[in-house]
Amino acid sequence: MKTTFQNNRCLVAGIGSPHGDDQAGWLVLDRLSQNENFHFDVRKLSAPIELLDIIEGRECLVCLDAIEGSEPPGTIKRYLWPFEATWMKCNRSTHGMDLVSVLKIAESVGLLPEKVILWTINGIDWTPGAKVNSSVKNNLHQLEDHVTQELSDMPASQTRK
Amino acid sequence: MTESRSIKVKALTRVEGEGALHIRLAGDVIEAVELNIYEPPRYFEAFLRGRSVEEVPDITARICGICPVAYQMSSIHAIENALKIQCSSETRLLRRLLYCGEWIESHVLHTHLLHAPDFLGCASGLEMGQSYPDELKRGLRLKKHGNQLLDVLGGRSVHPINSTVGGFYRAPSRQRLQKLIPDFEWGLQAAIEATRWVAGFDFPDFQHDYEMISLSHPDEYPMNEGEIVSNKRPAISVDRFEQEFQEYQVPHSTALQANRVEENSSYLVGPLARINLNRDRLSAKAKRLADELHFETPCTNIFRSIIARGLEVVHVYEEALDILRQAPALSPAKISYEYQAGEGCAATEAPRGLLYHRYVVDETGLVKQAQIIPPTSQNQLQIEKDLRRFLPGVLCDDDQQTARDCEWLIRSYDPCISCATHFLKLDIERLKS
Repeated sequence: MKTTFQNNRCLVAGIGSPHGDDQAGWLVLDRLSQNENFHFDVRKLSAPIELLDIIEGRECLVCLDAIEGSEPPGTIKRYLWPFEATWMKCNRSTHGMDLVSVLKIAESVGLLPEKVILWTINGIDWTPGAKVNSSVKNNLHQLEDHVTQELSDMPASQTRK
Repeated sequence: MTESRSIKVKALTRVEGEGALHIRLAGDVIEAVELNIYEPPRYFEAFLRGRSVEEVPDITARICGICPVAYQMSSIHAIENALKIQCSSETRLLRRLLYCGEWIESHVLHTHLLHAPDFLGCASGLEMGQSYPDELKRGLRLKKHGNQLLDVLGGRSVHPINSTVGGFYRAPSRQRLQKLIPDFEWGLQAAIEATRWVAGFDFPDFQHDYEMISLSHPDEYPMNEGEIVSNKRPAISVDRFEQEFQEYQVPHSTALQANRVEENSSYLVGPLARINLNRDRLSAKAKRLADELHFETPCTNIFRSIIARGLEVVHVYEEALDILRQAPALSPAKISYEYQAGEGCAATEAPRGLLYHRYVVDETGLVKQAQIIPPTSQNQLQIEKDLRRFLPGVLCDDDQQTARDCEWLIRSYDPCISCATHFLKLDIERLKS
């Protein structure tokens, strides 16, 4: 019987919702979870503030988030912490802080993992209940490949899956 | 000539949802104070019509990301009343435990990241964290405990999905519940320390003889059930809520306001009202702490709500520990029931105050009518009245400073604007052909 292990030192977090292009990060997590060679902890989050509960003790955090911006839909970018996110869409709820504020708070209290990477993908349609836009959907596999590559040098050696 | 000026806080920060404040002055005379909630109306009551009763808790949970359990609990109790369902005592206990989780995560978030910065002269929780990292870290750990309870009982920590009419979809794991006990033992002591910390803040001298409203239960601190009590009037049963209180629209806000039907008067719901009306039902440690901190009741200073929240967090930690140690077994997870036409209402205590739901259901289990009255709608008129009284003491030439002081007062209510924007009056003009 094949034994697989899950690496909890690194967390891959998709931030979004089931609506329109906002679900891009979640869809990439679905793909990663189905990949039997991918052994990292993945979490779907509705709001960045949820990170504060799950990052303690991690060495690496990879966030996936769909963003609004001037780039064409489907554009993928990588940011290494520390970064400022002036391009992030306006936060609609101040009980739920934006990602940069959450990461800064985590940093100020010593919770932030040593390595934090943000992968963004530009979206265009945020309509409740809408499917993901085709331009975004077509690039999800690229984002999946980037994340897989990003974590390829992390050893899989922690918790039995 | 009297100079006119307007102070506009275009976007209230560190509250849930999108709102603004408009103050109009003629010289020193306050002409208007309007809490303008401009978040779009959300039509949840209309969404619910035609849905099956089983869908209601999960739809209403989406009204708010901070207090989804409150919406689930009020809707479930109201529907169970309509269908005449009586749940087991174990279900009742586990629902209280779930509510404990929500009170912890909501109160702790508000205290540490939203309201404490006002008292400490910090612009944000982030800025506060630089000067008070240990306090913030303690707060984040406490908040995590609340989310853990939601995860174990509710299936996930945000918008939990395990509560349903008749019980739970899946019986919560007793083993997972009991594993939380050491964390909650630490949390109880940390919550006491956090409450001592906030009780040491400097509070504005701002008293008002509020009418305070909350649920009250003879045997327990109010959460899931009880009658509606007031410090000014006789208690009423929850099914009289709509005869005694009413919602109405104001031109400057997409959220409805509420007042007393009889006198069109404002009233206060939330932790300060709850604790004033139910202090003797606080847990032993919370009561002792209130005495130690000389938290006199009735407390009529809305800024001291932050202490009331702290005492309630201590209470729910102690109650949660009691229930976790019992780890009630739930079998079956959910009782069976028959559909029948009927009407039911219920009120529960959301972290920020009394939350009322009423549903009319038909014989096939579909919702025909829904009514939801959230705590922020109920507090909105009182917030505006408080601002009118507070402003003369803080008005200065620096409009930004005046605005900050007003936001401080508004945040004392922990308003949840997302919850409040649930209806907009629709006028249809029909032209004759």
